[in-house]
Amino acid sequence: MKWQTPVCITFISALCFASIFAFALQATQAISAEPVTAVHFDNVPTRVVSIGGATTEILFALGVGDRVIGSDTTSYYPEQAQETAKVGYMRALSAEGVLSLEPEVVFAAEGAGPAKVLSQLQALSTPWVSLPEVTSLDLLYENIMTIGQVMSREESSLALVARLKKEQFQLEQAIKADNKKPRILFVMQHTGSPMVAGRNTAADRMIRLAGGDNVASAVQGYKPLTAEAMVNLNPQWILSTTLGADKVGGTEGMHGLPGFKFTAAAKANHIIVMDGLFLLGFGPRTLQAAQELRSFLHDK
Amino acid sequence: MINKSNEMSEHDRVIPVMHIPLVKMLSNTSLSIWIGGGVVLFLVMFFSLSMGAYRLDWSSVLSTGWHGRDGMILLDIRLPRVLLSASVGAALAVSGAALQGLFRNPLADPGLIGISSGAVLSVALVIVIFPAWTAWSGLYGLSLAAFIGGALTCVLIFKIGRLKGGHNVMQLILAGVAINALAGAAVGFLTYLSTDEQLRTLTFWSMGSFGGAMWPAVWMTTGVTLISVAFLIHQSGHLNRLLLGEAEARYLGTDTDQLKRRIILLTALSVGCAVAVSGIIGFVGLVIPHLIRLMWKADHRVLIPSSAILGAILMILADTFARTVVSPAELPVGIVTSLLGGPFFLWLLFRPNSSGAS
Repeated sequence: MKWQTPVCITFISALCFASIFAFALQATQAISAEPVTAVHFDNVPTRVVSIGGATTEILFALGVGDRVIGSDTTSYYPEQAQETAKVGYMRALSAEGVLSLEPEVVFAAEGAGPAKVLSQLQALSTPWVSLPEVTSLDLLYENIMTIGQVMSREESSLALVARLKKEQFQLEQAIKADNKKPRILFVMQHTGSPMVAGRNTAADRMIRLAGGDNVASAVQGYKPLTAEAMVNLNPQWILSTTLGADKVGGTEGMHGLPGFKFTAAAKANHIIVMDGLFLLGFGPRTLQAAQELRSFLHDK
Repeated sequence: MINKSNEMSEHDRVIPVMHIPLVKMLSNTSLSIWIGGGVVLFLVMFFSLSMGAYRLDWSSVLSTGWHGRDGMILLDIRLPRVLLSASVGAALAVSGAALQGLFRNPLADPGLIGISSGAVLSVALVIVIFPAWTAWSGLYGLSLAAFIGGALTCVLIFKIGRLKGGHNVMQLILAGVAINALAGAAVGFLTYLSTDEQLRTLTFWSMGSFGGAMWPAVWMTTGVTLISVAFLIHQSGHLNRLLLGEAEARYLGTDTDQLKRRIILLTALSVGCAVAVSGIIGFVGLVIPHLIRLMWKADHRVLIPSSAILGAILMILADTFARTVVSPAELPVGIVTSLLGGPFFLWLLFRPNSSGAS
């Protein structure tokens, strides 16, 4: 009756965890954590589930959008993508939900998860094509080629990549020619201290692609900005997503940002609002978005 | 002196206190709880197994067995999920019941002794600062981190609570509040440092889900929950004595300090496991014991086993709802438990013929 509780329980818990840990390690070894990237299909898949806004855009751009039967909530372009079954947010997928659509292939952007759900799907040998995060345009071209290969659309994907490369070349030439670097600040969230995009963010890549200078490049990732720092950075342009701007009542509301009225951007009413997926999705419309952003910068 | 001994014998008669051997534990009341509750639990499990985003073809399961596609979905995805939600529900509800008894505080829940906040802090640390940890430890890295963080925080609170000597309940609660606030601040700071992806991973983890239920997690959680339910039932007589007050319980021969140590360790262990495998699922630990007290009785010998069973049943139902209502997507189950449980609990408190919250 006089059992030593702490000793007893520590012992039991240690035992439990040791055994479970051994189990888990075995399980992870059996099911490799590496998702399959190159899958060979005998037939061209007709039932496709696409995870990630850019991935879905690529499928539609290659003309196989009609085979997309399911997608995640970040896939809202083109409009037909919204009519597919929605398997939830890309980082909170449900194994049974994906399986219920009986996909012949799942295209998933990096970051799809959670990891345990992916391993459940793998255990049931769901054909899975994982696409790396697009941190450079070359990776976008690679992703387009991968999808084209799986869907037997090699020609369309080559044509698409060629067209994008041409646009990229023209854009880079134009930027070289005018030799101006407008100072831009991307603001993601406007309530409280506004969140701005520093280095290693999609917004930073887009600003540089469009030939701008990210004034917040001293910070890493998305960070809140104080009013005084905003004045100090003195951006010539404020860039935001439609969703972010709508939350504060559009461009008028953005004038109320702390410190904003002292910046060059506010004085010239230089506010650019663009759709989030278009601007930051890094899908096939990326160069188009960069062009549009550039045209805003140079119109006035 | 004479008066005091009279009082004692009276208490002994009113609240018979026992060291219950496991066999005697199955007295008449608890036997009927186990049988009745068990039958309902079994039916609920079966119902939940038959529900899901994937349309299971039962005849195909029967003909192809566990190796067909439908059989594998049933065995590898749905069954572990149902069992996991059952044991997590039971663990949370029982821990809530025991802690409310121990602290004699209706607002006590497993969060009070720091397990949830410690687990969140440790998971945030892993996600934001040491992503290499998950790379090294694989799928269960976050679970292990959550368990270690929860357990350490709980031990810390317990140690601080007795710094001034003895086991003052009030000190313990206040230490818990302070440490929880500290952990919350640390999580806030880590959120500040995190990238967008890390932040989302953390947010979804802390909303709770059984989405990643796999067999190893089921074995661990079910094992730990069964052990801790059995031990807590063993201690239920002492918890009853504690209802009279700490001094009174001591007069009746209960070693209250030892009782506190045991109960806190048991709940830390089982809630730690629950949080590790499913994230933070609020409301269940707080409310299930109250439901039973309001609808039935506060005797811990009844309260603890029936909390376990009701917790399991309600958690299975909540998870079934979470994974079917927006299929093929799913809701975080923590949202469902609070959304459905909150209004029901209010109704129970304020229904016309209720005797109130007491």
